[in-house]
Amino acid sequence: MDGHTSLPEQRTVEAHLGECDACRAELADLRNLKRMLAQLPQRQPSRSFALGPRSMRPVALSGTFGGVLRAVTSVAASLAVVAVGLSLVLQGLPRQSVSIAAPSTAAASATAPLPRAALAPGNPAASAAATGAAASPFAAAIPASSLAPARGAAKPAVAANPAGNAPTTGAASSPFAAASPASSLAPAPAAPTPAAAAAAARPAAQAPALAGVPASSASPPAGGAPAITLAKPAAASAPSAPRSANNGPGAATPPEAPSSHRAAQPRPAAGSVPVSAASASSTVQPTAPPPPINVPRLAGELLLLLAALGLTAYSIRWWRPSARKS
Amino acid sequence: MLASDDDSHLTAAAQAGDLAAFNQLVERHQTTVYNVCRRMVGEAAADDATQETFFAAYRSIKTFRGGAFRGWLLRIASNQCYDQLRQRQRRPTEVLEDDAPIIDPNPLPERAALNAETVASLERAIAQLPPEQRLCVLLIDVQGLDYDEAAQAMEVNLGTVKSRLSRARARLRELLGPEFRRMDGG
Repeated sequence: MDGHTSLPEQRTVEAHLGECDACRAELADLRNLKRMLAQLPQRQPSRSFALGPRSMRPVALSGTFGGVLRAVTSVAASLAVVAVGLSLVLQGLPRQSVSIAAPSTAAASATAPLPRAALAPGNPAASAAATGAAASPFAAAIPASSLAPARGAAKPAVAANPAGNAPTTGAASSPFAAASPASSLAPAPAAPTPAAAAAAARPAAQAPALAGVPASSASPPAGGAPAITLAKPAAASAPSAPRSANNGPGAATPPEAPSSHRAAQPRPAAGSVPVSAASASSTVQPTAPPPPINVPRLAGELLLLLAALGLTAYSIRWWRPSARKS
Repeated sequence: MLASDDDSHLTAAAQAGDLAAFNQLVERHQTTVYNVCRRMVGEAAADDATQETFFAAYRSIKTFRGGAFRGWLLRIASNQCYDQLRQRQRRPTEVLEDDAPIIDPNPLPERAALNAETVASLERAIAQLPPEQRLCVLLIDVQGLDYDEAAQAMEVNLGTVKSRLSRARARLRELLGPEFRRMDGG
């Protein structure tokens, strides 16, 4: 029918068609069908598909290699985004604040386990008794021996636990709150505030935890420079006694408090710290150095995040068809 | 259809970066490409498939090694159509159009011999063919390509073209049914 048979084949077919009515009818049907198909109307396109100047720009890779490259790029970009995000989350970036502690203080207390010692809380009454002064809420009782012996061995000091805004029950559910004991702001000595006295009278279930700071945690007083620091998180479930024991010889461990009080140690928030140290001297309450934020690393990770996002956007563009003609 | 010599002149110019020459090729072949795409993927997606075909052709014009430009272009078009059909299979809920036959209200004058009912029956039957058979019928019986050009466009050998065409025609006869013999053949 289409002229694609050889001459012998054609003769054979013609001979058969002369004898077989069914095959002859079928051939006639096929020819009729072919003729009708050839007469099917062709529609004119509604517009021209001529390309415009925008088609000259670089476009996505095509073919198998382009598909593989697109897939690999997309997966790599997604993994990079996830990795950077996990890195930022695991660092606990939002829970850290900037340390403005004096270098001398940070250096002096580099080995002092102040945060852990500060986890050992006392109930308000005990704290007040230990310090002999009405501390502000969330104040940590610091025995006299916890401070530098040269300057105030017999003077009680109250280390303000600055960030303890969270109530006991609320903070207990947050491991960070329980683990970050001392965001201590120890500016110039200040008089106890009335709020502190009121806080001391609160029931333990409602009042924020008060933490006693042992002696070993108190590094030699720095020269009066205020220090706003965030302590490194520590495990909330660990008992406070061993931590206090780690404070070294001579550490004055405050009265042991129930674990719920330890867990109630609120999460630091430097901006809301209103408290002062009640030390008689003008020394600054020493604090443990927080883990410093590695600014170059943070900047690098942010740059990596931006690059990954850009790569993702570019790969998404690859997946999409190119722009329509102008 | 235009001689391939004319196409070769224009394709050489297009390979040298002449966009105007390529657009002349587009104007020559866009009706064929559009109608193949329209019957392969449907009315709604035909414009996209056709446009993507010419985009892809322009991007890869330097890889054209001579021969029938129409066959090379229809190979790109068939690949575009297969891609769209695969995407549609992956997302079966995305129905672009129903199975209504495509009836051209303004057919080209030289192809206005069939009446509307016959055209509708044929279009409906073609739409029910498997994609490979449909493409084979469209290229050879509807667009008039010879077997070699169709084999180039479909990227198969000649024997495959013959077998697909034979099965497609037989299937069309089944789909058209006994009314087939009463249809006018022009």
